[in-house]
Amino acid sequence: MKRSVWILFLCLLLAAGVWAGGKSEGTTAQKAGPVTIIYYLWDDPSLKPIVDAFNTAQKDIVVDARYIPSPDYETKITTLLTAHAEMDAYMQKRQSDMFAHFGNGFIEPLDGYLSKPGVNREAVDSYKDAVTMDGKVVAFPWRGAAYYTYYNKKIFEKAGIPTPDVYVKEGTWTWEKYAEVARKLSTGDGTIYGTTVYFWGSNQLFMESQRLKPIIDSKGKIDYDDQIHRWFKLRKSLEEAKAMWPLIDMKVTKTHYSKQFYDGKVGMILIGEWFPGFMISGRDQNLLKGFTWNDWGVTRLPCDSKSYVTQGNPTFNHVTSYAQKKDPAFKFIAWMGGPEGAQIAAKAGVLPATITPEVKQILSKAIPDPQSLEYFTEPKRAFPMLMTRYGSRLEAFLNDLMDAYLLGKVTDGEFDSKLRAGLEEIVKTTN
Amino acid sequence: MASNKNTSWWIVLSFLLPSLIGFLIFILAPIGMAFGISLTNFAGGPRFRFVGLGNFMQAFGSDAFRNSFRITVVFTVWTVLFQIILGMAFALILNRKVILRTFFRGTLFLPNVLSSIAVGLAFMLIFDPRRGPLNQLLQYWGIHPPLWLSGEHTALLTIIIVTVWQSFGYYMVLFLGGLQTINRSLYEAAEIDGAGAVRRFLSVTLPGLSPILFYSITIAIIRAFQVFDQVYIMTGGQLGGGPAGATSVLVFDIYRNGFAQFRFGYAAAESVVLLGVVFVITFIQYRGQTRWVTYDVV
Repeated sequence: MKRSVWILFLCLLLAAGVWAGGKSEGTTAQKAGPVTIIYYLWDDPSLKPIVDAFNTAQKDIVVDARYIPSPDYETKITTLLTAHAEMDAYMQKRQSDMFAHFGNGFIEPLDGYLSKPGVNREAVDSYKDAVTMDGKVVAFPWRGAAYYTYYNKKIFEKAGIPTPDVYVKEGTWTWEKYAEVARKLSTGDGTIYGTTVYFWGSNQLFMESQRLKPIIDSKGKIDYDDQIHRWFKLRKSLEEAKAMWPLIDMKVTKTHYSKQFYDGKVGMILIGEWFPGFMISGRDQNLLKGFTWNDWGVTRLPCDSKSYVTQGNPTFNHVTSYAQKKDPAFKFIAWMGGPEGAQIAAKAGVLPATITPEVKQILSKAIPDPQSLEYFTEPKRAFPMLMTRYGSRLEAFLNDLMDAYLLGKVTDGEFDSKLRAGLEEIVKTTN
Repeated sequence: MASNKNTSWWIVLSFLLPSLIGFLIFILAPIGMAFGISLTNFAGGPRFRFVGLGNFMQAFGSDAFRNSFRITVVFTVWTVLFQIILGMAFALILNRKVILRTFFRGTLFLPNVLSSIAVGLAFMLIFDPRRGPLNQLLQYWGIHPPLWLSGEHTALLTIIIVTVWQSFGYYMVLFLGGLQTINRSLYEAAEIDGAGAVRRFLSVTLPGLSPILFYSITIAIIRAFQVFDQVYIMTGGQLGGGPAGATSVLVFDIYRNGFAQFRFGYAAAESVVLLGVVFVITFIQYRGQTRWVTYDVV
């Protein structure tokens, strides 16, 4: 009996050791010196210089940046948050996920930090609607919000047609004209596509956003018009004419939009304000094929209405509600969204949340020509994409619907009923 | 052999305790939690409420769930069929004295130890509709190349091909082991009785392999119902399962609902249904084995 008690005692000791091992990290005393915060973001080439610049600019806080591959970011960050993984701050990639993250209590409201003296809250005020939930500021924007038309001048030159900025100046850069130009640019055999629009559900909503339709508003009211169907039809006809890069192909083969553009295989790409950063990266890594740095430009999105509207959500950071080092984490995200961070972001080739003359000056080196710079930085209305608690599900639904429509599984006659049924289901079954 | 009658229960417990703790923490508790979560609207955070069987009702009424279930069944039927047929065929061939027998046994088993991620990525390149070597070869021979993963009707087939390629070697090894336990004298007796090759296979080999066959089919079905990696890797990551949901198997749908749409309660309900289906199939197989599995052929 004595022996068996000893064996049991040893087992319990072993188990206790395992449990104690899990606790030891949290009870370690803080060492003197700079505070290290853990910050999660994705592996976008324009982001690393910003973190590096912060670490170089001051000595009190060290940002330990954890990069997650971009295609898996949304799901991995959710897993990490749910597991309360050690994390002081993180960048939100699919902005509509903010609603679920905040609803789940993962995000720290920032009002208390913002009211402290010396905090530059210009970026927060500029995008107040996008970062406020239940009357609380829950995010600090650092990158602006706008989609543009980026174009390869060489491809336009070869096709002998004017670049989109010419039509913008004339006031004729409509969706009709965009389709016409895309068809003219394409070789028709898949060697050169006139245009590409990435497969994200939110990127199928340009026309709808320009009508200022949220599809499902924050109260669950369904509000859309015929522009969704119009875009789907336009996309299908352009894909059939090999004038637009096929959505399913790029999804399955994981062909990134930047690669399509770097390879000189598309004349135009409709994408967001971060794209000049990709171009800088492409230039620095000698990835541009058949064209040089000066052979690309940027202008407005096609738009049918007289007053120009684009779409876009600012990119922002959060402090986690369970962070160990909330103050340093806030200092970092406030720096990133402030004037200093804006200058570094501009240098990396993205549109910062605040545009000052200094920022514009820096951006002039990230954009190839002055006219493109004007379009890039002009004041404009950017309609938020899917920024409600229904947004994440709506994004997935639009993805599936687009697949089905392109494959002919949903006909034009069925389109509206399928769309409405899907939207009603989302409203009914979202918590 | 010494008697165990005097062994103390404390001793027995102390030996059982490590694996019992592991079983409780890593198997029983997660299953219990999945059941519990399936009855709530849990979205990942601390605020959730009890919704009864609401998630189950929603799942059974959902086109997406029914579609995923149908796709999973199709995937399971074809994958299990080819895994078993190919596994047994190659086991029969490589059980004979053929040239480079050991080399082929090793080579055919090798894909099974490779990571699904690496295999998925490699086959994505092979099956790339435009730049992939397979379609270039087909075009060279004048054959109109299929779209493989990009085609609505070929995407699931492509996933099945890759899964079978990767895993049939495992079943081959199991069958090889089984073949070597069959008493040679039974074949000799059958030959003396004038039985041909087919008759010997049906009357000696198949009954002799039946316990292994039963185990293989059970494991293959369970694994097929759990397929996820290949779909995730080869059809577009978190936005995958396409085109148009053509490869959206049940576990992928669970993943999408849980991790992309924050519907953990609903996803847990889908998991419980999956568990139930696998349990019922396994139970039916277990009960049915008495009719065809022979344990006394030695």
